[in-house]
Amino acid sequence: MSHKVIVPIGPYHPLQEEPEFFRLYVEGEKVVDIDIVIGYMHRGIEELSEHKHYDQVAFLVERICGICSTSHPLAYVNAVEDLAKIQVPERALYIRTIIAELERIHSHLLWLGLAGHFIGYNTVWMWAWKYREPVLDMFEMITGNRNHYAMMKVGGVRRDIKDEDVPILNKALDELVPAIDMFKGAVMDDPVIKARLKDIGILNKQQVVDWCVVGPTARAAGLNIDVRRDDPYGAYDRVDWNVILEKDGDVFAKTVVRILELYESVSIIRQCLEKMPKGEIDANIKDIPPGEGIGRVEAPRGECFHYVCSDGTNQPIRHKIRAPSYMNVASNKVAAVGQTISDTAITLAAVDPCYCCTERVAVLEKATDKKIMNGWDLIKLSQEKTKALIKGI
Amino acid sequence: MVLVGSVRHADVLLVTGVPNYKTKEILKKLYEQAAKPCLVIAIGNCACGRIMFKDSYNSPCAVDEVVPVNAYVPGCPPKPEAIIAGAVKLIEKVKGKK
Amino acid sequence: MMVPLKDEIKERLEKKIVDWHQHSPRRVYISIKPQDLKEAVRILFKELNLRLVTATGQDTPAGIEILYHLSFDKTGEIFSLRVLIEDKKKPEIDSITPLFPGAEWIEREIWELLGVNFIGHPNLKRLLLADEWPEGKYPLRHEHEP
Repeated sequence: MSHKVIVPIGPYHPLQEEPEFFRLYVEGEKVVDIDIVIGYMHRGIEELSEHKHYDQVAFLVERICGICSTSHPLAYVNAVEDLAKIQVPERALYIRTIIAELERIHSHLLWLGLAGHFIGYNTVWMWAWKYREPVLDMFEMITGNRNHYAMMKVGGVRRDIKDEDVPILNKALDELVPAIDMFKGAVMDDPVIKARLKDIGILNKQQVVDWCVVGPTARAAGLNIDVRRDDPYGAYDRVDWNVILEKDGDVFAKTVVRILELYESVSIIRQCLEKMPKGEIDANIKDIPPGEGIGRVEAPRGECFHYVCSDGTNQPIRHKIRAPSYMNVASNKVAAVGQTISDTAITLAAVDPCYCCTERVAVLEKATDKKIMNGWDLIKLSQEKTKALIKGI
Repeated sequence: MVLVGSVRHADVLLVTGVPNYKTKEILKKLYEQAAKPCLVIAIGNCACGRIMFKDSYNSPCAVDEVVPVNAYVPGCPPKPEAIIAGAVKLIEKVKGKK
Repeated sequence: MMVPLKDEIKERLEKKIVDWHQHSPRRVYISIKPQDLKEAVRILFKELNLRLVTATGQDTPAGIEILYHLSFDKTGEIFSLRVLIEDKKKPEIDSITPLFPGAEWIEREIWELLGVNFIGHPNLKRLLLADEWPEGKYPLRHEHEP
């Protein structure tokens, strides 16, 4: 007789016993239901915004997330610029785009590494993070920091890209492309990775629509949405690029979308560096009139949305923030159900969740509440499944 | 430094970010479960002293109000070199005592 | 020739529209009565295939205002349905989660941070705040500010 076992899970830090982050209800090896508990990184940022000046809010929202730390300020300034109908100088639009695409590259490489780790391909992990370093170096060269770039301000950007830095950036991009080729080959041609990721964690197109999912997770299921094209900001409508779509909606499709997006990002940055006109980088905005505005960007994980309401003072009266992971993580309610426990780690990771928090995994025997596994074991289970597949091939 | 699978095998707790009402208790429990002596390094401005989040309704305290902290690595975020320097300084201090 | 979406929406929502404000080329704000909310969302989401981005709850002197932001991805337009719940002592409105599950967390968050009850919501329990957070204290309500 199969008994129901509750399996609490946290993808990145398998050290703690409670509280649960994901509670998986398991019958035998199969996940039959999932309860998602969040709130560990809730810092009351929307409320804090109401007590800060418009300039300060950009720094505040940057720290919502360390990985997509430019998406939030960019969406925020877009919202304020929509509110006040501000025209941003051309050069600033290009610089914003370059920073945003560099962020997409570093974020996707980060995810690639983690995904590799979860399925036991630690070489992929090490190499992905190794090739991420030059991208962070590019950030440091342009902005002075590896994370939290403090580039966005209402009406423009804070720092310019110097002419002498452009060839250095181009060279770094040239060196990145062979690495992306390597990952593409490694992932798409490896039969074990295919076996490991194909038909796992499927989210079909209708589910993507019903759960209002965004980003690569949605595009992997064939939903053709991308804020950069649909509601253009920055310089995206001034350069040529493609929206990457897959159709199977499984973890493999989500991986392919992210890898192919890397190529597009490199191409966008190259075009921006070439086409970027000389000129001002800041519209020098002094006052924000009363009103409301909406700004959104395509963050690495999907649509990042900010709404700002102003009463004409120098502080917003309401600032609503919706990160992409808010929608994507919730969809695990359907994507993770029906999976085996050994596939859960990679399924939950496939939406590229930005929890920014320390969560944990524990497998509890429901009847006795006795802990029989922890998160480390769950990742090990996932890695072991890969080993078994390798032996079989 | 090696990342271990259970807090019971840990000699050092690296704490990043600002504790909130949910995580404050977790942090306390983690520290209690760790085999003593266990050092704590607070990494980042928020772990050191809340800073940007000090007026937030959901961040009641900094890390050192929950667990004793042995080293503070400020920065937002601290560069990798700074984190390593902080860890090395702590190790030297601990070794010096012995 | 395809009818522009704005006209489609105006036609299908017809009498429900209390106010229509086009702020910028891709931003429209439509005021409707709270009792018409669920049907309006159903029309926009199910019939016209807009996507719910999120909902913004706001404490205003006139009441609790909720903006339901719906995106038409083919054109990048966002249509925000605005409702005003005047009863601040016991604010409530029909839940749209029974229409599609993507709304679940969005409504839970407004419930716990602003105190709005969503009638018919299948899982109205805390999402972000700790269990020990006191009942009746809503962080985004302005009366709680010092």
